[in-house]
Amino acid sequence: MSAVMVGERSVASTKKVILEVEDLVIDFRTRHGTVRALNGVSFELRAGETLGLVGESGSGKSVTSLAILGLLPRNATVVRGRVRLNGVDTLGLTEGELRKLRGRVMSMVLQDPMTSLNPVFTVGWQIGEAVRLISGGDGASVTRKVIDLLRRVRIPAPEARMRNYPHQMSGGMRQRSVGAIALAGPPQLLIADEPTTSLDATIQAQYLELLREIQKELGLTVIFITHDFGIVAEICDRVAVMYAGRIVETADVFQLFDRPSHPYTRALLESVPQLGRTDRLRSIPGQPPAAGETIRGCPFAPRCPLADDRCRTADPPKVDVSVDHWALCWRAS
Amino acid sequence: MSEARQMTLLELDHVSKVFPAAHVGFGPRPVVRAVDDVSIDVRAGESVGLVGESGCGKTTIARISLLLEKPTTGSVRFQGVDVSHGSGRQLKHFRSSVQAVFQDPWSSLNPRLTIASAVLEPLIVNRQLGGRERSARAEELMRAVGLEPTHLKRYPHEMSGGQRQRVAIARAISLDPALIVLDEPVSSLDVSIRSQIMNLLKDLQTQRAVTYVTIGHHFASVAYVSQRIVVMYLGKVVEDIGVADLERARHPYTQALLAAALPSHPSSRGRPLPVKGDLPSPYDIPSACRFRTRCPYAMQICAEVEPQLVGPVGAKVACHLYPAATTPVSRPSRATSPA
Repeated sequence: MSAVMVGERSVASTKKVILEVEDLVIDFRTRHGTVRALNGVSFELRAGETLGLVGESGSGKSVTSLAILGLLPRNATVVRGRVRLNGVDTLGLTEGELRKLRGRVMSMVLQDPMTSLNPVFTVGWQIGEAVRLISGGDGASVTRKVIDLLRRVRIPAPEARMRNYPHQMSGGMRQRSVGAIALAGPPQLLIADEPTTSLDATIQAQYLELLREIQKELGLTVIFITHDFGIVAEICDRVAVMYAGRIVETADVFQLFDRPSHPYTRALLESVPQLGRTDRLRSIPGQPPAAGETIRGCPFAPRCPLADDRCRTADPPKVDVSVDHWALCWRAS
Repeated sequence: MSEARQMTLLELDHVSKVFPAAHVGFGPRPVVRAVDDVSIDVRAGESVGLVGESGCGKTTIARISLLLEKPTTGSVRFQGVDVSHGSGRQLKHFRSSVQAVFQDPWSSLNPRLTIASAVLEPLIVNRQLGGRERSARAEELMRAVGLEPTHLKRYPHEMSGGQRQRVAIARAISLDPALIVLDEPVSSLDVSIRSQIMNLLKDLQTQRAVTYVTIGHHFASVAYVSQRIVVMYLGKVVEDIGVADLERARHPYTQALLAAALPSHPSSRGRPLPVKGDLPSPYDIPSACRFRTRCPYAMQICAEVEPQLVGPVGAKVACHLYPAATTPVSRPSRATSPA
């Protein structure tokens, strides 16, 4: 029955904006003082779209996703900005109201399936827990739903596998089981935070293929957090590149690979080794600013080959490169 | 000693490594055959990459090559001398000629030692150098890896991940080793730092004529610092291939690994993946050809006869699609049966 509902929803809402993040600024209180984790992040997400949120550690990509899910840790403060999911400002919701959204409207898959799954419960029980919380039902109907979900994530012999404990499964199967929990709603918005980083190459490729199929089946909207442009090229429709708590460039995926306009995006794309190429890799000198470091002007300026005095003193403007493609850079055009 | 032998730097000869596994219930204690009858030759000046997925035995091979692990059977020869059964003094030459760089620069440096002590330790142990010579050498090493002599006074926690990995590399090259084993040298680093370290490794290779054995799961990164790739699957070598020949890879598993490499542009997304299913458990390895359960070309013979690794160095393959590999051998099956 849920499949029908989902089908209708996805048809009705093609191109509808379901998520709007507006000028989000988030601070963390730490032992070393206040650290700005996000510094004015804005983006929109349309139903059925896959957005790649790309950045290195500390760039703010995971904080962005935690803010969307209402899972920010206690030492975080939203300084300003808004997160609107289906028009509702989620930052103003109570924990009880957020709980109603998690699992049903939005859900998340994390990097390491070993830490997302509880080792002392069977995988079937853990998927069933999500089913019970979301839609209730008696034992038999929950079991049926669990088997359905395991089948959906292509786990062979689901009737037997649901009785497995996490350690009895391979890494790929564990990560797919975590996916089954995330799909129990099924949600409209799925946030995948580096779900394939701990997987082997062939298993990763199989996982991405599966994600693409399920997304099509369910009309899911996906935010895929990654540091790997290869994954972006493989499954994303749009890309937002993050650096030091800001989105520095966003564009359609083809546009971004064809015409990267921020010097950071360009350098990252050229620094990845490709098979069949032996020429020297482009490398970005220096390292990203440390958390809490005071930044004047463009945060990338100290590592940027094009930086001039203006970049080092004044905040870079948002420059439109073409339709739906902009870069936060004085030198972009 | 033949000429070819003299040129061989490191030789793993029919090496196997068996680890006991956790005992469950009654019956014989299960074992994991992490490496099963693997022979690899590394010639001087030639860098070899070892790729494969978890459980393929590549890290065990790295540890055996460093003698951090003794092979259960088989032997390790370095410059023609069997080192796998030596100890103490006999290994002094080996220990100073073979160095390692590990994945995690956070755990490979002692947090209580300054960078100077970390970099100089091998020199103090192995060379009789005076204080002034030593500090001159330390400064030279820092420059060689792109750091400043002032970094020598720091402690590891005062440095970034990329800088620490540079320190680990400085320590590894301090004795001018003939061979450096690099186990996932860039995996724990941020994307923008990885290329810095890969370029550094490549520069050092040309400047110092050092041979690398690089272990990694990211095919393109390993290929970048190697001339030859050895592909492993569940404890076996399935293909040995020159980096320049990768487009003509013959083993279906190598082809699958290459197809699984992520695209460099969205126009080449969604390529068909010639592999199916999950990695088998290392406790329950498929009989005969281990890849047959995931192989799109699996035939009857693949379940019956173990394919042999045949061909010259840089063009070896173990697959029944290539008739030379099919020669039957009388070796008892080594799979541990639960019965």
